[in-house]
Amino acid sequence: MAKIELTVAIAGNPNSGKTSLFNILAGAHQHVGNWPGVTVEKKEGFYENDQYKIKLVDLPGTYSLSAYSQEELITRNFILRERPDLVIDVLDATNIERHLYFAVQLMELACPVVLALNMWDEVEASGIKIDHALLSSLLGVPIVPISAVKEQGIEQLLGTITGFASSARVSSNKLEYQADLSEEIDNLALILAEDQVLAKSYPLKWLALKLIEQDQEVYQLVHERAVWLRGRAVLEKAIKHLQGHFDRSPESIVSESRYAFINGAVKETVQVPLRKERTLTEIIDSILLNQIVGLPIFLFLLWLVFQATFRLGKIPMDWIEQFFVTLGNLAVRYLPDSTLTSLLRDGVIAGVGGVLVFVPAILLLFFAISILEDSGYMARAAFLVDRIMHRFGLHGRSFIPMVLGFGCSVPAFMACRTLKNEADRLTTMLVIPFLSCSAKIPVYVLLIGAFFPVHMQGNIMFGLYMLGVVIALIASALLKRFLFKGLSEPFVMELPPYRLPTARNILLHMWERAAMYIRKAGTFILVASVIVWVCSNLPSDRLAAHEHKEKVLQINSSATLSSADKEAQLLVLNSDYSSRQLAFSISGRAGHLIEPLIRPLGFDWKMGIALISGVAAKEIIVSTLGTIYSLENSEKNVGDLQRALRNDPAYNPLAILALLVFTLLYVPCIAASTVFHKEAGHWKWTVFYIIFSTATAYFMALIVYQGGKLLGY
Amino acid sequence: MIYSSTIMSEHQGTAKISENGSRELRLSELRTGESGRILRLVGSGEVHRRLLDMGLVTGTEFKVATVAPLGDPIGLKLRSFSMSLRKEEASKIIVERTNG
Repeated sequence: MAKIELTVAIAGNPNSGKTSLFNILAGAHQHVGNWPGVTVEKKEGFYENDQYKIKLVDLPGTYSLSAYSQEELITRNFILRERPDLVIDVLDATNIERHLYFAVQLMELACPVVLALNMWDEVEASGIKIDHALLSSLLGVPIVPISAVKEQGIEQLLGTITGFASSARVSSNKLEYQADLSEEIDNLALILAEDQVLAKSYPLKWLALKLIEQDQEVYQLVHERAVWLRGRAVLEKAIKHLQGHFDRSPESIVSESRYAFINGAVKETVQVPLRKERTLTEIIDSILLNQIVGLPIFLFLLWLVFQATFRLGKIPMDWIEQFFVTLGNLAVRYLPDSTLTSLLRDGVIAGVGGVLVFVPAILLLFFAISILEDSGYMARAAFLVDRIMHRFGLHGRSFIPMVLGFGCSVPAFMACRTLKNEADRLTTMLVIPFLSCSAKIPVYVLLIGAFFPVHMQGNIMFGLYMLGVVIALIASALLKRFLFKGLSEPFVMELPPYRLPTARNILLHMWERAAMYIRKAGTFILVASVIVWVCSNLPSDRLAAHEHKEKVLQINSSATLSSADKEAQLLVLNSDYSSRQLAFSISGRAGHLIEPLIRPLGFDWKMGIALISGVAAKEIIVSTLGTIYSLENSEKNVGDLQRALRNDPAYNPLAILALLVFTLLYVPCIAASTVFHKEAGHWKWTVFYIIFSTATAYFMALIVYQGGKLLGY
Repeated sequence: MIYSSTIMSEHQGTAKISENGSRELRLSELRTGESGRILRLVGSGEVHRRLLDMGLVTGTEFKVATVAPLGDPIGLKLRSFSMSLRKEEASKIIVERTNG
């Protein structure tokens, strides 16, 4: 017998436990994508038993179904256009009034709804009494009490879902508004009913209500139609009538009316015991939001997240790196010495390693973020630092991703998902690269150590970090003022009760992020690292290769040299050859090509090559300079390279300072840029980001070099 | 656009003495620990909408539970939950004090 297929959407407020319910029902049978055209996540999954195959769609968590945010539009458009067989609205039963406000709006959409009263275990423990049977009959929709965390009531919920679907019953909700509002809605709906197309595709009372609420989307939809000629006058009259009556915005009147309906129902069905003692959440808040220790605790927790992600993450990262180096060496040992082998080792194997090396950091970061989010602390963290961030046009939630930027931009960009508002998220992502990531440290150590006296070194390093912070803050203030004007999210935000995170949710979240990174960014980074290999190895300098081979033969066949001497000479020979090959390659030529462009910054073609290779990964700047100066193992023998740089007449401390500033600010490595692209969701942002960061770097380096020259350095 | 000046409330949020003698003030003027009742919201747009969605409608009682260590934003308790908002947003909410 074929299974009955159903589509069930899961909706609800943020913090309602919606995702927990989805995770229980779908388990690992879920995947995350994006809603078409936007960067809001779309989660889908399946639940199956012997009779049913239920497709589950996790709708974004929202407080309302207005047209102000993408999440709200997605939710209501999905319900209106895709017409799921059923919508499960997940409510936090300990905060039933506000959660019913969303339920009422679902009922307005006239779609079949089942209310899942979540956190029922907490309701019982706290002595709240909810007569859910009576509430169900007052609202006219089925209600099932559940506890997603304890997995209670799930069977009953499934029973209600399938029972509901098979009986093909349309919910007969008993929603009522204040008399005046009701009357106006009916009047307007009557007019709209003349339009057959609208009447077929939308609940008319909902359209009427939304028009009275001044909903832009519905207004756009209706005002193009012929019926609007009459509708407009009726609407204007309705609004005038309501305003005259209540002396408030029509939006306020509608919201009040919904809450009045809810209060009526709640009064009859819910009894909250009078409590004198403070709740656990209040006690925890008295510490975590404390005037004196609140911020220090936050900074400590942030430090822990940082340590977990980067310090702890470094251990498996080193293993992964080591593994791929060994693998590459094995390939070289057992395969013929050819360009293809080199491509395999330095392009493909190193590329796969370069992708996987970030996975431990991502897993650990999302372990920490899941705990912070699910426990309810993330909202408090934003609350604590919003004052500072808001001054620069950012949101309190931008703080944590920005701090992570000091470690590595890859997880920092991914952490920006905690920012719900598109403009806030993009602004934060665009300024994160200015915060000095840890891969730039070897470059600083090399250059500062080579050109500045010991007593200045610490200050210059500190100055670079501070410059990054200052530029990031100025940039975000400018971006907010000119590019994302008026688009920031209001800070009207819930401070949810503290709850224990569940292992299931944490693990699924970690897995989902890491899988997404590997699937979406992984292939891209791999391709990019192959391209970088091609650029620095092709075309091959045949003349140099030929001469190199002959010299190697000469040395090897020499009778006079000892084997130690031979080895030493071969090393020098190899380095010379690499240096010539690099200069001959695409990158090498590009270095020469851009020399006139970077001359005003005090850079020459060698720095040009180093900066171009640095796009692959910042620490490569060091090894590239090593290759240019024909030094083997330059990462290990920093001293040799520093001497070589100092002896190069092309460089002076001022040019090096400009180079440091440029390195700090210019476009991040390929891995980070790829993740940026995937997270930002549109090419135009990636292009903007590359130009924005590099132009800033160029401009600042120009100021340093030319300004320094003017001052006589 | 039909939604224009006719629709927006004329209240600019200035504090005044209402008829029954209780003083109208902005929510941002209340101190930590004080309670109040919402009279109306001023302004429009997304902030207005969000405040309504959170249940800050006329007649709702609330308490200013906490202020962030840096002085802004503030934390409110109402119905059975807590929420935060910036003072800038709180200044668009006209309330009366209920704690005497």
